[in-house]
Amino acid sequence: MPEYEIIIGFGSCGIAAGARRAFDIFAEEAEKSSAKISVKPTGCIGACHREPLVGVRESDGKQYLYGEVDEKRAGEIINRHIHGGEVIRDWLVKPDYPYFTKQKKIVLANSGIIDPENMDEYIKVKGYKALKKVLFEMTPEELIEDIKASGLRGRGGAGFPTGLKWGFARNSMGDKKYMICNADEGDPGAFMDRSVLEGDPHAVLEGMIIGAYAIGADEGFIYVRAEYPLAIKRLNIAIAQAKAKGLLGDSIMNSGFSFNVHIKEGAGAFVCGEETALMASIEGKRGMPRLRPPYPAVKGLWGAPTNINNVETLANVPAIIRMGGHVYAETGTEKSKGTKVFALAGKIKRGGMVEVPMGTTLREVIFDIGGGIQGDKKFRAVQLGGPSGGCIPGSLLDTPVDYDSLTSTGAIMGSGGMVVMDESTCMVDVARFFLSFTQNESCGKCTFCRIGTKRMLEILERITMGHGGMEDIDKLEELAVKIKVASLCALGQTAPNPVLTTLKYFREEYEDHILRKKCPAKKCKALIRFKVVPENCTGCTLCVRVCPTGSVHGERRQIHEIDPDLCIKCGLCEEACHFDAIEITTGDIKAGVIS
Amino acid sequence: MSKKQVSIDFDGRKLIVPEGKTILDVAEEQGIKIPTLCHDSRLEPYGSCWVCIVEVEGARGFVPSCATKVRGGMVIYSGNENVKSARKMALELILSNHYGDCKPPCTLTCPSNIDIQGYVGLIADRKFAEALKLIKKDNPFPSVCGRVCPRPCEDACRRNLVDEPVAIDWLKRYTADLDLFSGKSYDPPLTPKTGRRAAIIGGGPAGLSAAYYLVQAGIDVTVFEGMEKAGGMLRYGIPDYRMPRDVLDLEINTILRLGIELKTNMRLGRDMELSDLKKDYDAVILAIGAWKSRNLRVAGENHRDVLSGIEFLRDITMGKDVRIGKRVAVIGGGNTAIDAARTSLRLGAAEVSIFYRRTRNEMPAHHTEIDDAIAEGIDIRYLVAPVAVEADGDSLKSIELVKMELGERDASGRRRPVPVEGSNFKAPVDTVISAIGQYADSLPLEVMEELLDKRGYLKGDEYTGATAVEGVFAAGDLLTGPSIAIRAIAGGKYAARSVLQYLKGKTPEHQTEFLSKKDDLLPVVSDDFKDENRIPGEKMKTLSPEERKHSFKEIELGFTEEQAVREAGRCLECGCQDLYECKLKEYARDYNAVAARFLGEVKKHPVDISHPFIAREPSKCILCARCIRICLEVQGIGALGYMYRGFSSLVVPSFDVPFGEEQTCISCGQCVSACPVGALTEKIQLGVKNGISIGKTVPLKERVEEGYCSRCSVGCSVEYRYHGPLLTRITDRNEAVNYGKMCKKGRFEQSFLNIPVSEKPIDANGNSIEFSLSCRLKSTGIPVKE
Ligand SMILES: Cc1cc2nc3c(=O)[nH]c(=O)nc-3n(C[C@H](O)[C@H](O)[C@H](O)COP(=O)(O)O)c2cc1C
Ligand code: SF4
Ligand code: SF4
Ligand code: SF4
Ligand code: FES
Repeated sequence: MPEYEIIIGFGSCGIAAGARRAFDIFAEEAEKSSAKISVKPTGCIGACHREPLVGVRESDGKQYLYGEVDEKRAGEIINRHIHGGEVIRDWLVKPDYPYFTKQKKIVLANSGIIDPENMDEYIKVKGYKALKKVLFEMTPEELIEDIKASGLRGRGGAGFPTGLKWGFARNSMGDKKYMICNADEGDPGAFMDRSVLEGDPHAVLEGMIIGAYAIGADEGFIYVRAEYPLAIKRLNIAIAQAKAKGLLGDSIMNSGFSFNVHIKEGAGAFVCGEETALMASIEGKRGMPRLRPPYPAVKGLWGAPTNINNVETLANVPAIIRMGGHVYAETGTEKSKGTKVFALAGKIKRGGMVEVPMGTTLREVIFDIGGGIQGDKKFRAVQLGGPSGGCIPGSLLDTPVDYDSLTSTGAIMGSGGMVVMDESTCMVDVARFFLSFTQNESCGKCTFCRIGTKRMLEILERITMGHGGMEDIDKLEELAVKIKVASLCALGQTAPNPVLTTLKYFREEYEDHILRKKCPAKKCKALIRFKVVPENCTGCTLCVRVCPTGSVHGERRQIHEIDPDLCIKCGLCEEACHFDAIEITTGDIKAGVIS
Repeated sequence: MSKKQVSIDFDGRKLIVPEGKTILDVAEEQGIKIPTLCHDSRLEPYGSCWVCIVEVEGARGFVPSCATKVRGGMVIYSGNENVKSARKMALELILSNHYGDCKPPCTLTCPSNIDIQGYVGLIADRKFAEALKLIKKDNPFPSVCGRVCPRPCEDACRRNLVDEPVAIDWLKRYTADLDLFSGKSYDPPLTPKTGRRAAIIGGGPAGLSAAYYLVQAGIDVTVFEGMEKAGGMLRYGIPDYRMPRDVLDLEINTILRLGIELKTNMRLGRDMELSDLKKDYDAVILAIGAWKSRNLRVAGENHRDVLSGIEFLRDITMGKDVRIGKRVAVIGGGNTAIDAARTSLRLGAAEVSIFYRRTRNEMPAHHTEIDDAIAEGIDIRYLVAPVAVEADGDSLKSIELVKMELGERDASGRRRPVPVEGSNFKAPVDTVISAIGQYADSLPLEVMEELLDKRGYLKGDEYTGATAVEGVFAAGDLLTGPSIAIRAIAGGKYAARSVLQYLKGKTPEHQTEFLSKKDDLLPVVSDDFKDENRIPGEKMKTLSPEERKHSFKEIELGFTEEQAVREAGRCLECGCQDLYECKLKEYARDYNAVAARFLGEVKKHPVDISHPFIAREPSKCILCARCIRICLEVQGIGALGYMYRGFSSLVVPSFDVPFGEEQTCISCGQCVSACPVGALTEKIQLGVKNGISIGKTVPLKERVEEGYCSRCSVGCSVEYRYHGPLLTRITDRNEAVNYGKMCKKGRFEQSFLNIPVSEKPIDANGNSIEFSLSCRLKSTGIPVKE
């Protein structure tokens, strides 16, 4: 038994922050004093804003989590904590943070605790117990009832009750059925599914096998985006391990139930996450949604009844079976049960993966868990649901996180992207950004989605360029309303949401852009101007040196000036200036001058 | 197996229908038209265009009727305002990136909308008789117009962006003269007599045109002409060197001989009264023209040597002796001014000048006429206006003029000329001809004062010719003010149509159609034609200025056949091949869609004509994927596919090669038959020489005859399509045995059917072979004994 167990957050977030350096340092140390410490990687520990994270578990069970462990800190931790027995309090990520206390971990329970590449660790935390239970103690119908009782709803976006969906596929006639795990995760800024796959791949696999048993499928696909190599690697490892242990493949645990699973790497089109497009893509066709009905449960992959679930949905399943559907249903609100994982990002102090019980308010997530806005700037909006979602203003911060409450704001729960925006965000530009994403990713099939979103995008571009008119707002609304109800898949049906919510809650910003040629956040280049504040300018010439276009003029120790015709509004001068002598103004450009 | 019946509520109607039918099927049975673009009965529902949408109670949004099956208790709304406005928006969005011209700019500019692309194409294909018929559908005066028309169509011709316009008018003249002088010129078919009677007052282009179309519709027509002969301004306003009398007489005769009664020397108000005519006839068309000259309103203009331009021209054409001096000053800038000047020259004037108050750019006369006048030695002075005419006893001495400059724009958009103070000067003259404008003599109309507006002009609807008096219609210069012949001819055509509507008890209305126009979305520019070969226009043989200056012989001598065919070959074929079948065009009209309502980026793609039988125009593609699906799902080929995403999405031959280089295409033409718009069309092979298609693909109205293909023993159901005697296409028919499928042979390899029998057959190498009965029979597969 080693004296110290070192756990290093080895999700993509940790690796990106330099976890590998820390790992190497600790591993080297372990070599040297092998008896004393063991080092293991784990998935995302959660507090991504403080990566690389390193946990030190002492033999008596005491745990300490260090944040921002770079090479220097790693060395110090070895010297002072491991050799010196001193806990370096200042670097600790304190467990009594609301960051931790307000969270409830079901899906992420193992992430950051176990080594995802080691199946024994998963089994140690009751892994595959649920599978065993359903195979030997439950009929598929009983299993489906239990899932229904849990109130679990799909975490892939639409929030469809999972038990019901399984029931449909179960009742569909067919010798051959398929179970698909949707790990396409295409929303920009979302990485919940990736974290789960990287941190606890066996849980997803177990959930998938249970689902296959429920509907009667003997073959399955995990559709993962190719940009997730680590997740793919860990899934492959997990599949091999499970097969080797007889937990996957023919006659699982000698139960007579067989299930084989393949990994299909997605080429990266966002729309391929839509279930019918995903199936087309697996079939080798262009990823394009098709009409439903027939639903996949009736006619799915290669025409066979198919069930498709999101990663997070499936990761909930083993836990539900272990605790029982009714116990699971104790967490959450009346219509939204359990927890939801969010990727908290943007202008937030403590970003990262958070898992909260349904019903937690946005304010709690953002201010208690997330610690509020970076640099203590003013909160502006929180964007939920990515390009399909919407922007929620400060006045609605007490909205509980559940499917229906979020929908009523005009946003959606979505797959769990949560981007916090401060006062320096231009809401028109945000709407433009998301719409340009959906427009580019539209599969091109439907008239309204293909052309309608393009026309909306052009209007938004016009407005951010200062060329918009008030009639453009009407046109935006007219288009948005129709696109939502006249598109085949949810991409088109939700694409107008960012525009509609910003129009609803931030209309005056649109009007500022249009009527006053003003961008209050000073983000829209066409509407801002860089100027020297004469009182502050010391004539240090720093700005002259950084300006790439030579638009700043001025002799040393003389007040400088910016030539508005040459200025490309890159902002380098403002960054360079030590004296706050560069100001950005807006609303002072005459309409005719904007080009 | 009998299907379960379910009851549904369809637009408030309770229906019992078999379960499993689509809403679209049910609508069809109920006689309700639901537009569809991506739906094809040969294919599975797809759901991409969203124009077929309906509302279903309880559904999340609209549902595509083509793909939604009825269920018991379903409540469906197929035509409420919500549905209509969404369909309209779908169409408008599609149209906003549907870059194509339904009709070519030439046709749209022509006041009578002659199918120019059609007849030019037929000339290129050497189908002259068909070309003539096409022209006469809209213009009974092609030989006349082929000479005198100022050709607004040629100004609009897209070929201007390449080199110079197609000689549209001269091609018309070529075809028309060919017919007119053939000795058996064309008579349109007449419908049986209706027993209704129409009186037309005025035998000019408007009146005769109206008569031509009415008589064809079985109306008894009487034309009352005030002058000695019919023809109006064509006869009495245009000099012989431009409009030879024999041509005019012959062409008027082609109209009159259809059974029109002409009464000459009958003048309204003198020889008959409008109120009587109205009693005696079922309808009256007023087409008395605009024969009164505007006064110069300068001192001394009442001198006998100050002539009115149109009166002068009329007297000359009537053979009267007109006294004309050595030095002639013509005032004005229109065709009458130019004609008067050139006529003066031919009468022996030594010095002829034209004084015009604006610049050449603003001159209403046609630029070729201006050039010709200058070539003949006429001096044109711009930016001058008369102030006074000075006489010296019986003869004129001089005309006093003032210089002008262009000021503000007036209502017509032209800059108004204003006198430059103190710039007066004098020019010596013997004769002054004033040609500054004409107006209609409304005196004989005053008996029915409702006909006239406050200023004494006739008021009537510009498009229908309907006046305030029921049953009385107007056309030509009387209605429009002095204008060009083709406008009067068009007016006659429209008035005739209005009369027919009126006689059927309908309110005359101007039929509108939806027209997609490239320029509405993104201007067509020279760069669009950068790969087009530069081909100078054919030059027509003309008399030299020296030869013509002193004679009234016709100057322009016409094209030869080869010239005409070559010139017609220059046409860029701007209009759409799918004109008569395009679904998008039809629905856009049904829903009053406006193409430019959602103006934005427009994707321009080059036309792909690399395929031997199929033209691909991706700029018109609406991405319904019918071609892709039919190629893959019905034919099992998969030669077409999607490329890119979002707004850039595109349908392309596989590997994005030119269609002609796509390796798997079997040329079955299914994609063409599936395409609801003009993005995939077939190359119609009328111009065939030695078995090789030459010339143009012409969008033509077709007559459909159902039949069976005889190229092999399968006997596929097909449609034979004809335009007149020409076989244009063979297309699929969704019936046994092929159910819409076809092969290359049956579909495209039929051009030989249009080869006149007299043309020599060719062997596989293209060499002509001996023409004998046995070889002809052999070619049909019938065994012959040598
Ligand atoms: C454009 C689009 C993209 C989607 N992307 C994903 C995705 O990346 N992952 C996912 O699980 N579901 C995605 N979905 C939702 C799926 O279509 C489907 O609803 C989901 O996989 C069902 O699983 P669940 O019931 O477990 O949520 C997407 C839907 C649309 C319309
Ligand atoms: S809504 Fe958009 S993404 Fe979805 S099927 Fe239609 S065009 Fe494709
Ligand atoms: S090129 Fe042909 S179709 Fe086009 S405008 Fe000219 S004559 Fe008409
Ligand atoms: S080319 Fe193909 S996809 Fe485009 S409109 Fe025609 S049939 Fe539809
Ligand atoms: S969606 Fe029904 S016809 Fe296109």
